[in-house]
Amino acid sequence: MSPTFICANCGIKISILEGSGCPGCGHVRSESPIEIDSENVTTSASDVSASENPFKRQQDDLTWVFNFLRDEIDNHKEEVHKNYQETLLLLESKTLAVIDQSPNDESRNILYSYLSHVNKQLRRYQRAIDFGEKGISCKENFFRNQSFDSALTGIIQLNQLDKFEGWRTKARESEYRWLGFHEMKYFVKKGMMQEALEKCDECYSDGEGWDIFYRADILKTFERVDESEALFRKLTSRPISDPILPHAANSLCFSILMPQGRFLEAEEVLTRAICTSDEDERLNVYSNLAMVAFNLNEFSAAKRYASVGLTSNDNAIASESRLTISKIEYQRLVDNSNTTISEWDVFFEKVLADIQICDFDDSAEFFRFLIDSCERSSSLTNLSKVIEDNYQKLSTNAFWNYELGFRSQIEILRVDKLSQIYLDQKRYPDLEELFTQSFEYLKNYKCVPLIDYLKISFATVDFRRKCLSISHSYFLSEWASFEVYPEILLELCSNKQERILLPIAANPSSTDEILKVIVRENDVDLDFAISIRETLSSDMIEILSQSNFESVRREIAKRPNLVQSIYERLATDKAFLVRDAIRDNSACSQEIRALAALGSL
Amino acid sequence: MTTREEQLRDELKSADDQIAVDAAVALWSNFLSNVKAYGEAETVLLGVLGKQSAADGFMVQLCLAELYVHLNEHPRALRFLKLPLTSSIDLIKKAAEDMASKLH
Repeated sequence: MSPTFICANCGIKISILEGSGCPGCGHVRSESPIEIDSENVTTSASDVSASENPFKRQQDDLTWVFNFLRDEIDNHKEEVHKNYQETLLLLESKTLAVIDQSPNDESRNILYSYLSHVNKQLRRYQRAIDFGEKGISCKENFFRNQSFDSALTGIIQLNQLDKFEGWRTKARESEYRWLGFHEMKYFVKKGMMQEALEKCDECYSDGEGWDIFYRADILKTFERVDESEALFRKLTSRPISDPILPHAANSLCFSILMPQGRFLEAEEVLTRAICTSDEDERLNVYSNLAMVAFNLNEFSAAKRYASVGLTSNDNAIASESRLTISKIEYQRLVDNSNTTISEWDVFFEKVLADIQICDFDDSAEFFRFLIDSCERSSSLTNLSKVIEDNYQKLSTNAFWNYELGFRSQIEILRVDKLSQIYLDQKRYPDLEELFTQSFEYLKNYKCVPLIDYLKISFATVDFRRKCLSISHSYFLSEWASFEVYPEILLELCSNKQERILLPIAANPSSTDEILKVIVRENDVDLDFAISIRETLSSDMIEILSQSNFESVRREIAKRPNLVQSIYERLATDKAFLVRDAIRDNSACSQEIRALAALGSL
Repeated sequence: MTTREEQLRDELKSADDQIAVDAAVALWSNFLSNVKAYGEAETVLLGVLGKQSAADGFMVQLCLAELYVHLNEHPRALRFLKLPLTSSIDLIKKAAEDMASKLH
């Protein structure tokens, strides 16, 4: 689908390809004040912008603002297409520069509406919400609706779901026509599949197929993957001229086929969709095809496709392609045993530049490449600073507090590497502070530097108590093997997994109190691990000599220095292998060994 | 650029899928392959791949396979040969078989 604009005269949505002007009234394109980004043309939510004429109720007092929009905004449309990000930022700053000159409230609100829209396009969603808040006061339906669209999109994108109810009320009062679309997205975010599907049916009954597309999208989100795939397939089998096809092809491949490793099938779907006339989707196809080729280890092809994908105006797509190119380059450098430091320097500088402009969804992977390449480059000595500087920048991203999965990956990468550095430099107080700030992210992660730190005595018992919040079983299991504080070991025992209890059973620092807790599990492997400890108290020997498990009693029977009564009892044990152990035990008297031998006859 | 090449490039933009497909194939065979403009050729051919009907005998895939052989991307070439190997047009099928036998 080609980019479109709104005819200034009659409000009809016109393809940019229709260079001769509006088919409705003949007006030429330069008179149109509002650009609709081609990405959102496909959503009926933004079709509202197209369906209502912003100039229908034009009054004289709006002349100034419409002149501004026409002369300063609309006249830059070509530049927007050529240089998307920079031009939109320029248009925003132009608008902000004149907003205080607005002759009346309506003109000012129209500019706020435009600002909310442009920030939605820039994916600066908080600004879209903030400007939208003012823009919804517009009397002009078009601009009021545009503000609702931008703000509601921002609220959902940023996961500010607590604000949605308030906005929904305002949108209803304002009779915002496409509220249902945002409600559908809201229900998806809230995990309410049925409600989302109902809204989907309510919003899309035009027969074009968007109902199928969104239904598939919702089902995929709720992990009903087979049903989702079937629906996407239905759309991708449509004629190539169908505008939904490339959207469905990209979603099918990116969300279903590629995560399942079905790269050849994805390639087939994508190569069919690549001839779409929707430029944004075509570039998205190339970006996805690059990932497919990369996963098929066809790096030259991946690079060719990613080079096309990165020309997208949609930063999410361009960023994804830049990431694929970085993956290819990283792989090349790693695979080559003769890679020089200067080659790593070049890669490091490139990643450093890319991470500044990447989409937040890609930031963790770029951060990983940044750390890795810095370590191998001549910038190694600045590694801590590089990590901290870029971590600080990423933490100011609008998605930092909402995309917790990606944030968590970044936090882990940071703490993992910084802690290694601090540990090597014996900066123990800094290390404890770093870990203390990060326990939330380490809960389910095996942090090797933390294990190494716990092995040294500098780590206080208080700090060790905090580490108990970690639930990663491999981490706990390793920790349990060397911990010396009985209080901590006892706490570790509360994890009833054998993987954790076994090293505690073998740990020489485990006291009788701890061992008795383990014995209560009545598990042969655990009891056996205790029975073969080098030292055992008489109390524990007494308990284990009466164990339910023959192999455990046998290990006790093998031990020297037991009290006579225990040897006697084991000599008449019902289990042959226990009596045999007594018979072979040189610490036992001749009589007891003979007794054991007699029982075995 | 020759007049013919210019004409073919114009035809790539045709609303008639058949004209666009034929133009892409001709552009590759007569011009782009000669000057080894493989990157551009791939864009051109991929750009019409979905427009091709089965009755065309998968000529576009055959051209792409040939292109990937030139690029030394043999696994891709073999993948793109799969459909031409089933082509109902003998010439295409034969060319695909010849190419496949050289790649194996």
